[in-house]
Amino acid sequence: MIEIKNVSKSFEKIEAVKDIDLTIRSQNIFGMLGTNGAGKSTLLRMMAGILRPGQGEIVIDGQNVWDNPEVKKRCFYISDDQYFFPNATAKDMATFYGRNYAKFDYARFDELLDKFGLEGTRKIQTFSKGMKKQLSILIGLCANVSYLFCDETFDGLDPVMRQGIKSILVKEIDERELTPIIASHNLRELEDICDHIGLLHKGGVLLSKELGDLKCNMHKMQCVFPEDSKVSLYKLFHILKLTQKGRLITMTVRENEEDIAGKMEQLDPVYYEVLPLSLEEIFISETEVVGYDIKNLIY
Amino acid sequence: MTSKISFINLRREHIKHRIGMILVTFFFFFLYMLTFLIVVQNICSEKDYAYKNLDRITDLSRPETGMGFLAVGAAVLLAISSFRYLHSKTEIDFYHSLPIKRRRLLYLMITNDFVLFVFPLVLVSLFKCIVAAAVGYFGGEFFVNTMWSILCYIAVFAVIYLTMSLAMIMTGNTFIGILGFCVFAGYSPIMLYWLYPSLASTFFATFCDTGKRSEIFKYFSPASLSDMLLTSYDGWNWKEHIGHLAVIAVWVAVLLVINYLLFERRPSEMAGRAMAFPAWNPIIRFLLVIPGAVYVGLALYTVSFTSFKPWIIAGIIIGGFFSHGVIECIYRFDVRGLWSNKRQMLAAMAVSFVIVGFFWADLGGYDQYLPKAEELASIGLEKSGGDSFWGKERNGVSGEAMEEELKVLEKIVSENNKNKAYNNSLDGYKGFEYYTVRYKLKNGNEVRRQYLTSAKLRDELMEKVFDTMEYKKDTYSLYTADWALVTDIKLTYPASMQTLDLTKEQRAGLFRSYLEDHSTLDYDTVRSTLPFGQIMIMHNYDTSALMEDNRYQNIAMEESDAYYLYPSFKKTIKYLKEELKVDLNTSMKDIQVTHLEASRYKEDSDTMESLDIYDEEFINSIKDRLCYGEEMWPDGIDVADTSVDLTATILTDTGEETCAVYTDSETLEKIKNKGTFE
Repeated sequence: MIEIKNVSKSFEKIEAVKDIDLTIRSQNIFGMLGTNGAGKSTLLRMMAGILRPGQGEIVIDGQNVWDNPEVKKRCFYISDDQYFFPNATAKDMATFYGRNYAKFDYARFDELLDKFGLEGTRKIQTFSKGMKKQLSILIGLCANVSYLFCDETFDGLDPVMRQGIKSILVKEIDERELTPIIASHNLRELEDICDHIGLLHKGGVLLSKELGDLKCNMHKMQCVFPEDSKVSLYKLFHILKLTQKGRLITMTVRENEEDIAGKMEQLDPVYYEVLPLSLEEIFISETEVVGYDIKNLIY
Repeated sequence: MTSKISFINLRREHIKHRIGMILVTFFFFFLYMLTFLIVVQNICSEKDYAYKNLDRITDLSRPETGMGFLAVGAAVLLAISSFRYLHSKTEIDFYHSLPIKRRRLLYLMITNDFVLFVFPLVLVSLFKCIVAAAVGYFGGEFFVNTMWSILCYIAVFAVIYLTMSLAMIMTGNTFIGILGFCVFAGYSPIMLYWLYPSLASTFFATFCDTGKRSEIFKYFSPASLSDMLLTSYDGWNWKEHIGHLAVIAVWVAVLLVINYLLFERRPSEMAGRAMAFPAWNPIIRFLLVIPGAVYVGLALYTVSFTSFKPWIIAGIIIGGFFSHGVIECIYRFDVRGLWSNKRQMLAAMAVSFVIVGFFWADLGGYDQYLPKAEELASIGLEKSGGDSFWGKERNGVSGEAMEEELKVLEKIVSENNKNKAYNNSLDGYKGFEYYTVRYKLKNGNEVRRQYLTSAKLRDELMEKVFDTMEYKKDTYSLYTADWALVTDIKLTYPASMQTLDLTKEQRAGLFRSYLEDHSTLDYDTVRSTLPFGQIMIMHNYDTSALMEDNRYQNIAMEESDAYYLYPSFKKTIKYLKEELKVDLNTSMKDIQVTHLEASRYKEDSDTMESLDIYDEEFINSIKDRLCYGEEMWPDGIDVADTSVDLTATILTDTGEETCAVYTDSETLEKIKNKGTFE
């Protein structure tokens, strides 16, 4: 389990991460969403023990991660721009990581190289960006660690590869104790793999919930009321967003479907429909609430 | 914890990925081996000097600067290549996410780099021993020297490497890291070392730059420490350098601790930034801007030939602004940094002004310094440019003569500034002379000052001291010098200049006669009598004495020293004539002069005008007042009148010859009245 306790991090005058309290359970896929500059990478780098929190601490399995090899042995950080030694081959890198991660699985590495069609003896500098990304994920998986920190890992992978990697991740979670923490902008990628979502904005956590709960507790609703009805929707619903075109009201509400149905029956609308929200819509709605609105960017 | 076995694996893995550096290091060591081999071969091929081969080849085993440069180069390159990752976000993410403690990573890098240097160094040293043995010149001394060499090179490598690594740790960019290393290497031995003499020579009229500065500054730089360790004037000797080695050892220990502490605390996010510890930026900037502003002020003053002191103020403002601005631009990687932190810039300028103001106003009373008689042990006096003393020691004048001398010096001090200003406003020589005075205090300290004296006060001073043996021994090297240092003696007297080929005994006899005569020479004679000739003594220096006096670097190895011959030097004249069989003329009286030409520049013109005299009777009447050769200035006293150049045509056994002659003012006046210049 990863416990992020009141963690803050500033880069001189810029506050990148602000008072974050977060708990990430083991054997869950944790998706870290966030606006640009929200502090996702900073938080991930602190979790990997690269950056030292300015305040607070990050505890992994009961031990502080900072400069603690015992904890770091159980973590692997896949950067958005992974470093490889100049002139090194995939096998050279595997050997290097093998020296650092005692449980590194060379046989599985060879097997995965074959499956992904990567040549183990070819210089990595001749690999494409996507191939490098694949290699860094393969190395991370073969390091046999408990925590895999992935920073924008799926960017640059083709859809087939993305799906392949996701399958492997899910399989790994089933077979052994793996907890991937994935930071990404690509909400669709996270939607079908993550168990838990943490939404970061301006260095703080807007929300942290199970994906299922998140989806169940937030819906889009369209409704039409009779002409003479005077309904106080704001009193009844936790509305994140409301727009009205003529008599058609569109709302994003933080309510589960049953509650919505119950309340709507009392109001007796001419018509109403409850629609599930995609993760992207949830992201936009939640960030709009705190002022990160597309309209602010355009107008 | 990482197990011991896996740590060895880590070391191996780390070295495996530094093949480039290994190749570069080995290549330079290989070049060094080749050079050594060629030098040994060259030495052995010189059959004429075969008897020196053992010494020359043994010398090659001593620590030397060539290999020192290699050690410095290797240290800089290895430190850069090891710590460069701290400046790249990608690499720092890679290394710092690995399950290795930071201190272990540091230990791994440092020890690996030492292995990369020490291993080829030992190989090369072994190779040198084998080569020396193969040519038959290997011995105990060679072996001991080789061991000392290994130790010295490792010391140089260590101190440079740890300084470079410190610079890399403290910065977030490799170029800035290299600049930082240059600052570490040069700040103390260049910026601080020259600050005081630069200011003092600008503002103090009596400042005497002896070149003897506070050597402590050299101990605060890895570069100057390495230079001191390896540089030797007379063959490297461990006794001479053990102190340097000890200081380097202390430095290495201190640097290791600093490196360790900073490496552990260094924020990884500083990769790509200029400085890794921004809190220190103001301190570093302050330390650089203050001397920078002062130096620019002094530089502007120096280049303005008008010696207009307000240039210093302008220079401090300009230098303070730009040095502050440039550092800010570097800190921020943004040219707009030039305008930032104005308060700090103004504070640094203010400190620079205070420093300069202290010197400008001479708040320490430097120029007015005059010790009390009861504090003084002796006073030494040197003419300007009197650095060619090759005698054993200078003790100065003491006792009653010293007290009298001090009274005259008081007058000289009081009018020194006025003299300097007056002298600077004049063109050409107006009778002022520079004297360096060494006040030797009873507490063992020595204070030096340089005074500009008028002819009147100079005479007054000389009247007090010249006739004392203390002054003569202090001024004329021949009294105390090792005569074995003499390489040649040239004698000049009317119508002749010859090299004396003397035995050791003859040379000693000549010197003894001369010194007997010279010891009775009084200042009145020097002031009123033209010397008829001179003994020019060519000599080497006693290097150990020079090193003690810190004058070694300022002096060429062979010099000449003039000793004037006066008509009153009967014993010398007799020795030259009778013992050395020199056909010595002591005046022009017996030389047939057929023609005398006086020439001078026309007033306010570059063209010459001359006056020819063929009147034999007139020439004979003044002949004994003519002196042969170029003008001589005994003790800096211009006895001759040089306002007109005189050339005499003389008859010798081989025909007519022309030669330069000079005379006193009275005789010159007679010559001028003999005709008109055309």
